[in-house]
Amino acid sequence: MSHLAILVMFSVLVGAFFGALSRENLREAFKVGLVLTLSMIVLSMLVAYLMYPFPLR
Amino acid sequence: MEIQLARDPEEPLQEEEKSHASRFRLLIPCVLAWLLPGAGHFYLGRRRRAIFFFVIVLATLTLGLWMDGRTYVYDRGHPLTYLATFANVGLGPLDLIGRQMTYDRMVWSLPSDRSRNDLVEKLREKLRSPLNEYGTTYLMTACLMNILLILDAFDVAKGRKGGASRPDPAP
Repeated sequence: MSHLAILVMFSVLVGAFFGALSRENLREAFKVGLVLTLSMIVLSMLVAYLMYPFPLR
Repeated sequence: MEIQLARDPEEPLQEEEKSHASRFRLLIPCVLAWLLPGAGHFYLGRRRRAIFFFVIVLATLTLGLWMDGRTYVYDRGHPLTYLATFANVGLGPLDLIGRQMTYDRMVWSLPSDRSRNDLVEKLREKLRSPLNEYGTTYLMTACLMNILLILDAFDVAKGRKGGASRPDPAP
């Protein structure tokens, strides 16, 4: 399984969970979940890109 | 001259009983939430939300186990394993499935006798899997989600959030 797929699945699950937990309104919950999911994916890829030049060992 | 107001001798007792009943009402959704993810919210009348939470936590747990995630056991040499084990226990009875799949038995601490080597070997088998770190993260996330659900159920029951739709029993 690819690392990206694992990252996306994790972000969707955590985003959906916190969206539903933090907002009462369905529309707002969906919006928060979407923002959290996209933020996690974009920030993770950004950190991965920044770490790319570092040696593995 | 002092005037003493007549007091009902049963009044303090009733107040105490009310307080106990109130505490019990707060405890029920928390215990249910620990026993099964979302059950606390279901009890409080938030049924659609409860089913959603149940599906999310169960999906995270299942993916974690499928990716060879491992549950933690308490090890005296590593104090941080206390926290990780506590987080795992926050998932309630579902944590037992994770323990059975990781160690082939229900165990919460590293034993000091001969069975320790057997347990460590089971742990090493899990660690050899390339997806182990991801699986463990998923598993731990499912446990922490359930702890948040327990706290959220408490807040809802207390009336701090949204308001419980379950009516209070008549005094």
